Amino acid sequence: MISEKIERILPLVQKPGRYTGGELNSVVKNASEVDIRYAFCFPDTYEVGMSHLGIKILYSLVNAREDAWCERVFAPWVDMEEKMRENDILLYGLESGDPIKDFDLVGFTLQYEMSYSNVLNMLDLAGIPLRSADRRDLTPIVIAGGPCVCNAEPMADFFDIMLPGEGEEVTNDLIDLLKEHKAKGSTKQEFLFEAAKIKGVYVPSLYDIEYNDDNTVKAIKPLGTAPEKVEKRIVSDLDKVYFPETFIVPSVEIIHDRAVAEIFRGCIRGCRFCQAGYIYRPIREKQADTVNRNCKNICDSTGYDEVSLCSLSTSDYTNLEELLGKLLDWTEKDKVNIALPSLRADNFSKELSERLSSVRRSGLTFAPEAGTQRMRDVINKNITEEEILSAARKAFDGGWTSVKLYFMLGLPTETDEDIVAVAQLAQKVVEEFYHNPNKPKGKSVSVSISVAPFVPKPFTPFQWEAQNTKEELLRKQQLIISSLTSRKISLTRHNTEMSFLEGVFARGDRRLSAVIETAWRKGCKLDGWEECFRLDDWMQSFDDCGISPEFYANRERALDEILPWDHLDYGVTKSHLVREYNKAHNNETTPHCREKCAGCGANKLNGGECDALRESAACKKRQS
Amino acid sequence: MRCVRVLLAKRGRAKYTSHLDMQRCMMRAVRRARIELWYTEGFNPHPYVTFALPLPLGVESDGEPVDIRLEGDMTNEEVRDSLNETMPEGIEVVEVVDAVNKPGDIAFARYHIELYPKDGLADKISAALASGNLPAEKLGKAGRKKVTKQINVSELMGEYTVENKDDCVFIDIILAAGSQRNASPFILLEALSAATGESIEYKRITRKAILLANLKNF
Repeated sequence: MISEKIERILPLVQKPGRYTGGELNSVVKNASEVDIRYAFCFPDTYEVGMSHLGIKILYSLVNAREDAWCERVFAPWVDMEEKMRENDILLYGLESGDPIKDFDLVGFTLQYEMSYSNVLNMLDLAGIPLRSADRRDLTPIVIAGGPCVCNAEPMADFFDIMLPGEGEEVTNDLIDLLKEHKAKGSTKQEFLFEAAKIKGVYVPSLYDIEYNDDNTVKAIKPLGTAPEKVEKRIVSDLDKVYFPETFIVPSVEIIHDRAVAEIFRGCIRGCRFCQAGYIYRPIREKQADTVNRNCKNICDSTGYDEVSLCSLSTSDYTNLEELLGKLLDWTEKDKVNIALPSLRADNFSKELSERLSSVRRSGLTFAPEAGTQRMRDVINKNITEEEILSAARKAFDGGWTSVKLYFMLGLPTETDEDIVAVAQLAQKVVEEFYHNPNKPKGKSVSVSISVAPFVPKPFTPFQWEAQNTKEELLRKQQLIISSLTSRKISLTRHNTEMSFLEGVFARGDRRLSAVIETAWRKGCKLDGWEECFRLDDWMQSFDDCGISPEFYANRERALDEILPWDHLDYGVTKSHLVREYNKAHNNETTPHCREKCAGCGANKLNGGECDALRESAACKKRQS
Repeated sequence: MRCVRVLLAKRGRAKYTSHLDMQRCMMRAVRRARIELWYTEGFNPHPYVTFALPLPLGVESDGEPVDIRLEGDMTNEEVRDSLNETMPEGIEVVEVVDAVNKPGDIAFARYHIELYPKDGLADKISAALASGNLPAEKLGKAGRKKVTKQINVSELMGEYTVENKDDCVFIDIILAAGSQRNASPFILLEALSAATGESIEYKRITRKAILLANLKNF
């Protein structure tokens, strides 16, 4: 419940419903009857955080335990933060209104690098010391999960524990262990050493990092019993994994305000720029029945009128036709829309488009990522121009008039010719519309292209590449603008300064902890929001700490350099990444995993099993 | 198809749910309750769920009228009970009635306002309310442009009482409501702050009733 102190400031802030809790299906327990209180923190606003599937899963999973109570915490917007600080209100859990500094576990999900400063700001607002070393008591233990944990070294000084990989099982293991040590009265150090023995638990303070004179990493040395390599945790069988029966129904509109169900983890494509495509391997699919049941449960218990299927590439789900059949059986009757994000242009069938348009008609989005075939071969985006144009043709046939195309700028080996081709490809899509006899009558076409600067990420074949400088990216953006010839094409550009900072953190090491703290002290927060992002303060902070950000973003690494994340094991082997790196530089492609296993090594995490292998074996059997 | 009027009480934390969010909340509750709605028969079928008079954010209510059009043969009581089984905290269906009056007939609303106490505040407020002149600025539109209009809240109010009780100041007041002439309780409080020279902070505001021109309940 919220206190009168909080109640008095709510009329003074925008969208106060974000700070009250009390939404339908939120879980309230008796604090005195649980052993572990867990604050699940999303380091961004309520609307962003509440849209995230992971928080919904882990929230329900922890609350399914009788001995634990999980509450939600989000970053307050600037106006609320100001009022909280003015009135000495500590950051509180939305369910109880209690300050989270008294909780046992404070967990953050790190979804994107630009949220790092929010973590510090939230810890400070909560009255929790920022640095792990300054928190002497056993609780609260401050932990982190999410994709960025594959290299959250820049945040190493602030977290007690990081959880590489999937959270469903390790969260329960960690709660069990903390409960035990709390009862025993262990010290924090005793607990951390024990925690480090759990598979998928990484304790940053148990590793010593040594540096060379040229600032590269010299050695990563585990202390005591800490493992040499921390292997990420995965859930083996997605049909048995915990999935909530219901979602919290927010009282304030959020960004993705709908039911969501996951269809598979991992990706068969192997696009060389894509971190998600590598760190979520191996492929594990859910059966259509499981997904259908998940969708129905959530829709029935929330009243949502839209359900979205979640994966890295929806049309690569082998049971898609079967699933859509099962879904349409009840969604049409119940007037529920089905949203299929992440469709690929090469296997987007006309039937699929028709079945969907019977439910709802909106724009279509495709991601060619690059303008020329050579460039697409380098990044292993195995899609041809003809496939892109044919997908656009099918979309226009189906009555769509607006198409969104996503591209990246600053890819390895990119030339000006590749960039001009982006504009040309968009132009060809426009022409495709006008040459189409079946185009919707009396309507005009709109093609919006979005170009995002390429940021090299850990655990991808491009992890050694230099990121383009801000200046180079700006020049390339101008080149696209001057190449555009049609008013039917609109261009969205991404902030290059933000991408620069993202690039620094993505491949940074723990010396950046000092920079993040300095920048936060200068007032940096909510960096992912254009209106709050201040590069000048960040640059000043790098300067104050005597650290060159270009060293991290714009430097090409040698293949044998020790990387700050080398002690983490995400399944995919380094030798596979090197192979892919070399192929990229020879303009060679790698077929997707179902066509031919590329031997990435991730299947070792699942006892040698990978659904892509199983499917390709079944495929071959059927063919013979 | 039949049209029924659902009267929704909105109390506690639910008062921070905005008008637009209330519409979404109501649609979802109807779906969860498996109440069969009537859909328009046009190109883009949609259900008919209409709040008669938007409630300002932060104001509680004893009964907000929402008109919905139903298919099937659920009775008013069944609609009430099935909705109440699935409503979020703070929102309750008080009653489901047949819709008689049209939303356009709304002329007034009665509010109960509870203020944080201050010395002599009740007397100052009484004097200001009796003065017949309570100027305030209101955001309005002239065509497409946004403009500030000067209004006199005294011309937009009816009967009132001011009471000083248990360390709080209570105002019970009728204010113009509806699409033609209207004044929100917040405008009233702003005007009172200006007239009394006090910064007035409210503790709770509740809309007690929505009234017709003859002051009968809507």
